[in-house]
Amino acid sequence: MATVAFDREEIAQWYAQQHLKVDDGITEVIYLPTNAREREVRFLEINKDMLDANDRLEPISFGVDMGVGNEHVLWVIDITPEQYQRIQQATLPLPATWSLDSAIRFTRRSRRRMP
Amino acid sequence: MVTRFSDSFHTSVAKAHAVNEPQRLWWKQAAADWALFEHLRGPARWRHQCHPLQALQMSSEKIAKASFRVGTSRPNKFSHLGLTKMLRRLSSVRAPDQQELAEVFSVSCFQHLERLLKSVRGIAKEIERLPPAIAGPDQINTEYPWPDSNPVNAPADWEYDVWQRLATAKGREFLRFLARAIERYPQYAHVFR
Repeated sequence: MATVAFDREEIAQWYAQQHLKVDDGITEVIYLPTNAREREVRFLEINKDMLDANDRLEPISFGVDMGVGNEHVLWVIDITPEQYQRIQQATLPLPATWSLDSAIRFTRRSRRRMP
Repeated sequence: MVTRFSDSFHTSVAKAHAVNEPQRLWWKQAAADWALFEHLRGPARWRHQCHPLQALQMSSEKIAKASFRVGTSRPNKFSHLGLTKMLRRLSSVRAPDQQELAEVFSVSCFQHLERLLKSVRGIAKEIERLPPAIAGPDQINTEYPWPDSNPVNAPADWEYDVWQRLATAKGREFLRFLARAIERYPQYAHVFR
C-alpha cells in the first residue's frame, strides 16, 4: 500500500473547520500537536452546549482512517468554556502526555498559534 | 415513513456490507427503538408524548453508538456518545467517501450534506438532552418527575416543545435524516474506520 505525504496540521485544520461548520455549540477547537504521535491529531473542542461536564478528561476517538495511505487517528475531548479556563490556569489536568504547548486555536473566523 | 427490519434482514445485510457484530447489534436495537417511536407516534396514537420521545432518543443514541463501534473494543467514554457527536463525525469523513455518504442521505453533494448536518443539529441536541441523566435531576426530561427534590411535574403530563418542533419542516427534516441514518446504516458504516 502506498503511503502518501501526511500533513498533520493541514488535516487538523480541515477537521476543525468541519466540526465548527456543523456544530454551532463548538466555539473553538484547540489543536495540540505536542507529544502526539506522527499520525495522531489531538483536539480540545470547546462546547458551550455541554451539560455533562466531567472533570475526568478522556479523549474519544473520532475516526481512524485505516487501510489507506493517509492512515491517522483523531482524538477529541469535549470541554466547557469554564473547563478550558481551568486547563489554561493548570487547575484542571489534561490527560497524560497532552499539552497546551504549541497549541493552535481554530475558530470560525481564524486560526492562530497560541502564545 | 415506516421502517421495520427482521432478524434475518439484519444478519444478511450486515454480513453483505461487512458491518461488525457490535455495530450490527447496536444498529438492530436502534431500528427496534425507531419502530417503537413510529408505532407510538402513528398507529398507537399514544396520548403521552414522553414515551415516543424516549424511543426516539434511544434510537438516535444507539445509531450513534453503532457508528463509534469501529473496532472490537469498547470506545472510551462510550456512554457519552450521542447523535451530535455522530453528526460531527459524518462531517469529517475522508474525501473518497463524501459523495457516497451524500447519496446515502439523499442529497446531491457533500456540501449539501454538511448543510443538512448543521440543520438537524438543533433538534438532535434537544433529543439528546431528554434523559434525566443528561438533562439533570431538576430539569424537564422524559422519565422522572421533576424537580427531583420536590416534584411538581410528571413526564406523562408534559407537553414538550421539541414534540411540537418535530411537526415543523425542520422536525420532519430531522426525522427523515434519522430514518435514513438507521435504515441505511450498512451502506455507510464503512466510512467510520
